[in-house]
Amino acid sequence: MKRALWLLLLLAVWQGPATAGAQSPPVSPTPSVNASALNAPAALVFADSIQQYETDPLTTSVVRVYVSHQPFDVISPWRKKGVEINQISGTVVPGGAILVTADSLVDATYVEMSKAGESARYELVTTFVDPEVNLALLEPKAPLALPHLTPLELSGMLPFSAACDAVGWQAGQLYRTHARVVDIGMRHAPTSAYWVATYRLDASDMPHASSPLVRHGRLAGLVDETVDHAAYAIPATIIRHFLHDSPDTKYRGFAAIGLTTEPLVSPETRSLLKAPTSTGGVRVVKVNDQGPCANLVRTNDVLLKVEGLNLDDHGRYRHPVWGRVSYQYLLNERRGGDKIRLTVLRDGKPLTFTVTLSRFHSQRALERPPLRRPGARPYLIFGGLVFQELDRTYLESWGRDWQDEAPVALVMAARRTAEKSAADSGVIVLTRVLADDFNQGYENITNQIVDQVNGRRIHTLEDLEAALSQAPVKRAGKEYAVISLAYDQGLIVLRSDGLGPVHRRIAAKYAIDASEAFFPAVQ
Amino acid sequence: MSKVATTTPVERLAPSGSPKPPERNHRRLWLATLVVVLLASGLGVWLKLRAPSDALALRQSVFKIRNYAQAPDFASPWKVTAGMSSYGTGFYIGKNRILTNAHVVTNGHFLTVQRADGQNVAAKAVFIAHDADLAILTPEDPHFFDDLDPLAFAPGLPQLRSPVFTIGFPLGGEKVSITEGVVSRVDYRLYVHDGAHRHLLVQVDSAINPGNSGGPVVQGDRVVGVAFQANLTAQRTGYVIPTPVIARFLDDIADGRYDGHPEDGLEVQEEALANPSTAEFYGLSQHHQGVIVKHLSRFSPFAGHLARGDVLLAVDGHDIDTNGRVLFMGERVDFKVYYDLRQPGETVRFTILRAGKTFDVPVKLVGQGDHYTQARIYPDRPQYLVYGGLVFAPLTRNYLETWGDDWYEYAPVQLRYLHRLWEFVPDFAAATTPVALVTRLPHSVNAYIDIPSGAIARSVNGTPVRSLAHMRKLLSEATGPYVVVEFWDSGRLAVLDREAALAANDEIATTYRITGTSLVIGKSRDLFVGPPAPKVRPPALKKETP
Repeated sequence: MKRALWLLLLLAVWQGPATAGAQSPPVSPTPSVNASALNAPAALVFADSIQQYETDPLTTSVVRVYVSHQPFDVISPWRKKGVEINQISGTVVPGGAILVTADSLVDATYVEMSKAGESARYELVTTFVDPEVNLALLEPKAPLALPHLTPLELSGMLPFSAACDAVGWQAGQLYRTHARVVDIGMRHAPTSAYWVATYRLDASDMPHASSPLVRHGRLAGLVDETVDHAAYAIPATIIRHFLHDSPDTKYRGFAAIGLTTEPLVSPETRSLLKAPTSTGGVRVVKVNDQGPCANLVRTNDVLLKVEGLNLDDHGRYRHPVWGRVSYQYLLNERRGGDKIRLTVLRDGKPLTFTVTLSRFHSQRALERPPLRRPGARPYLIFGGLVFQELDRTYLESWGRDWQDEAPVALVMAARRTAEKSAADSGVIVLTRVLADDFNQGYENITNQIVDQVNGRRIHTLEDLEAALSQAPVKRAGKEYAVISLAYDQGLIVLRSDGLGPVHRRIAAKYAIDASEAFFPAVQ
Repeated sequence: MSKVATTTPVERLAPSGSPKPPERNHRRLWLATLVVVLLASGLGVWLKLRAPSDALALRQSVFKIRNYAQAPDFASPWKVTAGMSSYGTGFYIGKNRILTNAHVVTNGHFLTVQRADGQNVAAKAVFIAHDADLAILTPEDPHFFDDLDPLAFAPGLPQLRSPVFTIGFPLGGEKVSITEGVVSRVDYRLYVHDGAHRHLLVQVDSAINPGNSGGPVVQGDRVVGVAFQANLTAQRTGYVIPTPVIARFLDDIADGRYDGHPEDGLEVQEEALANPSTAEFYGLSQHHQGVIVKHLSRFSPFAGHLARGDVLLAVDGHDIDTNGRVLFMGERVDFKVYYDLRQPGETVRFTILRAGKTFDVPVKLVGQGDHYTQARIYPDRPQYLVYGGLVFAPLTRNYLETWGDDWYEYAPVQLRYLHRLWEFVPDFAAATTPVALVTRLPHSVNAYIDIPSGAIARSVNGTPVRSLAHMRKLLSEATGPYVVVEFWDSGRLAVLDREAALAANDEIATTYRITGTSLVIGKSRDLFVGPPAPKVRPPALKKETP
């Protein structure tokens, strides 16, 4: 009983075409690989494999990328934690940029690469990221200084049981691990809530994240997660879609349809919905009321066809290479703004709609801001009260099991909808109070959702700043901020004028640089 | 919305299993020690020995209570679990009554009380107050108390640092035990038995161990309280239910019925008015007084009279400080003590500050209403309903606790959310208690239903479910070929063929051995409230030597 519930709750749920069973790979960080020669086996001491460089063409397409990470301390977000350096593989793709997984760049401060057989290092900068499919592009900071690199062409789809190599770096050598595609299904990438097609691989030796899958000399996928004995990879078709648009400022991303569906296997439910078994189809559970299907599709409609393709009772259609795949893949192939035809059964009668797809964005609470705004972790200090956005990095400060350990109100705020909608404009949390005479009486408040400030609803730090500066509550010639916490957790009432000395004092006491985000700013 | 568990674990004191064998008696060594102590300490020792003699005299009226219990299994509510036995302490208070803790007699299908001289008789619990962890037993033998004196209560609260003695039958031996300590603290804290109510209590540092529960804590020849829980992470931290709470209980049952502590539903924000800005804002800079109302439950008697944002300055004329405390019998405790110790129907008066004006608000107290509560419940048998093999039960803390000791981390997040914050969930605004799907008893009528255990039923055939009884009504009155149960948060459906489900009920009840007080909607079994579950067969009573 307990296990079944676990499976339903975790965000990363595997939906394979073959079985209804779910596995739940938690997010696993890229393991840190110390590439120092001091750790090399004692017998042979070579810095790099010159021999391999001379003969293996892949050494000009798969480079070593060193990412220095320095995560912010979410409890004291003006501080950063220790520096960690991870070595991952970078794959040179058509166009010359280097492809890595987006989550390998979370909290990155400095990225550089080196090529096999060479000592030189080249600094890289992130030029494009789409966390929804966990892909990112790096390019050299000084383009003219680059060594000779050969892009890997992209392959097509790998069929079930296809064999390929996962390629990565270890101890100065490029190694290849034999891998086989054992399943093709939909999954949430570690950085998002988007259902994206994924290969599940069985490999003789688990490849590291960001390792390319190579088949017949072409890039067939990018490994982005390894859990237990399975590795998950983003297929080349997704990479192709990502690369196709990425230099374009009008990037239209990956499509969302704004529907939640469930398999329709029960004969009783089918009878109730007048959907004979022969017609297949899935039941529409929820319609995103700001999404592409709003006011067109309804709960209890049976989704029969997408783009004219029949769906079975689990929502899968016949794919020429992949057999049966969820209709979600048809969205993976499309972009925001594309149109798609849907056929539903309503009260026993078929209806067809053409809907304009939207671009999928994960709900704010599931985002990782460092991927969108490198270098900063947004927060605001007012009178010693520290406010931050509720995001995945913050939730993960409770660990991998944050869904069990974080406060229920925060977990439910993140679970409400996976997809961003107009109603989801973000959640601001009062994370802690830096105790000072000024905020005496409130110093024990932690992790409370902010409902309103000075009568205004608060969804973003910008809302908070605006409410504090534009609408103070005036009483007896003085100005106050009235902050009300969600779930009737109380009110905080503090003077909001003349906070200069207070902020200076708190900055000094807690060793916070004055240039940090005090509001009003410290002069 | 009351506070749930504190961070320091406390434990109730009635253990399961049989007591350990008595320790060996080193008589000579004991005598030698006693002589040395007497010689060394003179008068001080004489004083020390004087106090226990009262306690020694009183111990005749203190009894060992044995409970042969059968705890229900809320994850499989039709099951009758194996019995287990536990013991605790109780004492004679007159009128044929033995006072003890509710948790000593909970789930008890057979209770016995044993005198110091070994007489052991069956007893019945005539009043059980789960919200205050108190209970009254009456032995079935009317002559049980013939040569015994009842214990009398000392009024009010004992002084800090004054000595007290705990009399009882804790683990570590068979005979009555007397331990000594001092009063350490008077406070207003959680009573662990139902886990949701806070009342006045007294902390003592005498050893209070499992088995002491229900026993008297005495000072001189008077009882100052009933020992009932201990703090596991600290040492020598025992808690006692003091006389004022006991007096309220005895007053309550005077009319033959236990009505319970008054309904609360008031949450205040403490310490905010200690902040100079805040006090200035409310015009209270000259006073170090008051707490701010932050939440009023719909069912609270204060809901029609107080409002969020009101400053509570005094209760029944007693000033409330910025920590929410008042002076009560010489101690500073939570202001709620002034109405917590009253009876439903009585009036409490608040002095409040609202929109710059100070005035009094009298409020008539009421008894506990019918609504979801964070308290553990102690029914004879858990309520449940079986329809087409789907087993539904009301959401209770007991059900959440079937996920183990760490249920507040590992129970499904939607259930933990509802448990804490149900008042803020619009779907349950009109509900008495959310109803959960506990399990599915597999049968062909439900073979395709794949809803996880713990899912909350939002509606039946489109009508929102307000309680288990309401669900029973909706299911019994359903017409049409299908019954559609929609689940909260996921929006998923369980659809049953109505005729087939009804026809299958007999078979399901037989296959899964669902008997007794079950709610099985169908042809041959309908509705419930049958007789209590069959009692566990009691072991043969033996007269034990003193």
